[in-house]
Amino acid sequence: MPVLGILAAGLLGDGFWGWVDSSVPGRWFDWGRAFGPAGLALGVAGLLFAGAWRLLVGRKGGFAVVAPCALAGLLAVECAVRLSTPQAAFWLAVRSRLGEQPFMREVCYVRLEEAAGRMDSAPAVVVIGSSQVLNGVDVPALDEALRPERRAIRRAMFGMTPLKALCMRAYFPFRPGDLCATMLSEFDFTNQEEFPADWFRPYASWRTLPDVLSCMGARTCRAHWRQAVDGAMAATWELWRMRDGAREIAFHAVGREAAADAASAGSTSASGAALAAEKARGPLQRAAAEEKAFVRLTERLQADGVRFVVFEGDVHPAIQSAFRVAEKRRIRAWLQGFGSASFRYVPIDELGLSFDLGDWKDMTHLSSTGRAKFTWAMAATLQSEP
Amino acid sequence: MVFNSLVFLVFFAIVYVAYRLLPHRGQNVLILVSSYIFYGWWDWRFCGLIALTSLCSWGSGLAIGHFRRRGASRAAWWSCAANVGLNLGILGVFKYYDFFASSAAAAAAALGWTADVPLLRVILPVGISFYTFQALSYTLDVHRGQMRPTRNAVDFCAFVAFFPQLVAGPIERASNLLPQIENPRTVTPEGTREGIWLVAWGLFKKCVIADNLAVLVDGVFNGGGTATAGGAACLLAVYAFAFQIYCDFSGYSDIARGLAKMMGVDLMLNFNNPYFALNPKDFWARWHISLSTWLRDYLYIPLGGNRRGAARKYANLFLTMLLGGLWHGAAWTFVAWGAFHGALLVAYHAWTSWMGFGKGRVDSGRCVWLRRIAMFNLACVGWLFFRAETIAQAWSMLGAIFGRWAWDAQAANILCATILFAAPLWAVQALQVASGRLDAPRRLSPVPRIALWIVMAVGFLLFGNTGGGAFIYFQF
Repeated sequence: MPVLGILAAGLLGDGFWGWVDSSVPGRWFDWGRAFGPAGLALGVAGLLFAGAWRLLVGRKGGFAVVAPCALAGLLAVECAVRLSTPQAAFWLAVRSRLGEQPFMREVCYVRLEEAAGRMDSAPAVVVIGSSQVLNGVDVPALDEALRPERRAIRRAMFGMTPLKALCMRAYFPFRPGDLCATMLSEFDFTNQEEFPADWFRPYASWRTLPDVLSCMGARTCRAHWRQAVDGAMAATWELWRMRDGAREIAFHAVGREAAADAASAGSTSASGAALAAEKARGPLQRAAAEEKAFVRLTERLQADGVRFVVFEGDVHPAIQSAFRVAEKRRIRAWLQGFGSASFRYVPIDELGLSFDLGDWKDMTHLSSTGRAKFTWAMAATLQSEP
Repeated sequence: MVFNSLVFLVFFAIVYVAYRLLPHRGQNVLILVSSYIFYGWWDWRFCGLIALTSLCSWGSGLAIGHFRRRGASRAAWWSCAANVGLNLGILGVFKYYDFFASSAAAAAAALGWTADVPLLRVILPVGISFYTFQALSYTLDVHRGQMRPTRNAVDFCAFVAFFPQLVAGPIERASNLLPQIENPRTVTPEGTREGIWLVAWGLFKKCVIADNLAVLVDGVFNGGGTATAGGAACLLAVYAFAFQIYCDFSGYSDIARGLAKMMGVDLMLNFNNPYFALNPKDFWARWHISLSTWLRDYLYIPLGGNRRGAARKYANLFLTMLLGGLWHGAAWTFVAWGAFHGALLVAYHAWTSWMGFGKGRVDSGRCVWLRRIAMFNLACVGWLFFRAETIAQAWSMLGAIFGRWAWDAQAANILCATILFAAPLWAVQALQVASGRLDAPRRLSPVPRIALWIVMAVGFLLFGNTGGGAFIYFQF
């Protein structure tokens, strides 16, 4: 066992990080680490384990001994995986094996940022929101524009609606005095999935899950009780939150196959795009849970001492149907009527922006030129914030 | 309702509490009611069919007993035959009619004839193969005079529908399970602990090992994966399937035995480390023991067994295994699998006979591990046919393994994942084989036992399939 410990220390260097990153390391075995402090520590750990094994071999130990020790061991594993180094190694290993999976890629980004922690002491603008924000806000450029008074931190995620933002709140690195900025359109208050358990799982925590479940309502929670249990497990165990990533590592231990990438990459035909546009013009199903979640999120941010700035989102003129225009007006009126000192709503007119057709990448997302316009307008607005 | 679901957890918790509080007769009624609720959760219409099978078999047993007491052996025989015919008829209609009808139509078309054979397109009731064989074993045992018919319909129906083993076995013999139903049972603390271990280990094998290996296997076998997979990936997918089906099926059996143990009932052992078998005969003494012994006692021996010369013996063996393959499902791949194992058994018996073993010459017992590896690989050839969607796909995969060998990222990933998921299984099996005891994991000293429980718990949290995936043998 001590020898195994020393060998493990040698492998836990370039070799291990090379496997994590799916790259070929300079050397697989680090002799310096093997016979250095790390090797000594792991060798002693191996010796202690072997000693415990020998001492207890032949000893009787029933349920009263095994159960609490097994539970303690499980809790030890749970605590160990929460440490920043194992977290960094895990999410790096997941990210290098993802292929065409934008959602999981963003999960890895957020989890790696969380493991690294927030280094800068300057107040920050934490940018949250959906793919509209990911495409519409150039966060590095925003960060450049806001310095040195503030930094910009990205926490936007594909598909992030107010309900999902409420779930993910534990991963927003807020400090009192920070700003939270987002872009919201009428689309963000519609029901895309009644209980997005797969979205919640990597981010669930007991700090946020009760809020999420109460916004969804008892009827929805009863109808999706399995997903609610899944959420409770994720809120309790880091091991459960890691399971989607763990499966990626398990099934792609040596890296992603090229055929799998080709199969999962989507292709959009002209007729497919036209269908999507037609669907986007159609009536949107309002989700009460999203509106409740937005109100709850605003309250929580206020309680955390964070000022919430919401920019009005826009969509391509081609899908500005009568229904969408009416819904847009309703959302605007609702948000403008928010009576909260720590909340500011910025309609698109106030930004003095006008998007032309070249500013749109597709029906709902800005192109690089549109992103540049919006980012500078956003920066100018945020600079005026206290 | 599947064992690996939250619904079943709640169901069993309620049933178990009530079971512990009720007296013996109340327990039997509870077993019957809860078993029908369990079965009806799939489709309430299935309950009618199992009730029909149960009552006809019970009535047949009473009739046989009545006629035997009066010396009317012919009438007793007809009672037995009628019940066997009815049950096999029901099984045949629900499970095999469409298969044989469409195969006949395809054969006619190949010969240039037009045959418009109507198909029934009925849903296959879950577990019909299992409870039909279980009920038949009672009728046949009563007819042979090996057991007395039971007068209590509740007890008998509870025996047929006993929910821990209803939908995927073990196929219990009436002589083992029915007396345990009829007589008061004792739940002991040791039995409860053993039951909890069996349930936990069975769930681990199913939810962590089998369901995750299924992802790898499906990636090669399903949806045209065979066409793109290299030889190494095909071979490793077959090995992965060998462990998947073992963990899926033995996991179910372990859970069934564990649940029954917690209720004071001992179900028969269904698996005894089959991949450590030395030869085909040994394999079938370790794999799906309840089915292999059922086929031996109710098919092979009545056909003549080995009592009518070597040629008849080999024919009986082959036919028994062929029908055993067909029992698994209405598809030519299962027939091919059965035929393959029949051929293996015939070849083995012929070889032992030629070598003179059992006639003064003893097997040297050498090269044990070589024999185990050889038998495992032979079993995997059978699994290739068992899992393939068509015979053509099976041959295509064999062609890839022997003619299109390529080591690629897919093969490496399958290998690494199989090692990761199957390692706990191999560790436990090595312990069992080395100690000669199946309960070896429970007899470990505290530290390795604690380590095993931690591995299982971490495995559940990280990889456990919570989707309530059905067990492979449910489709049989």
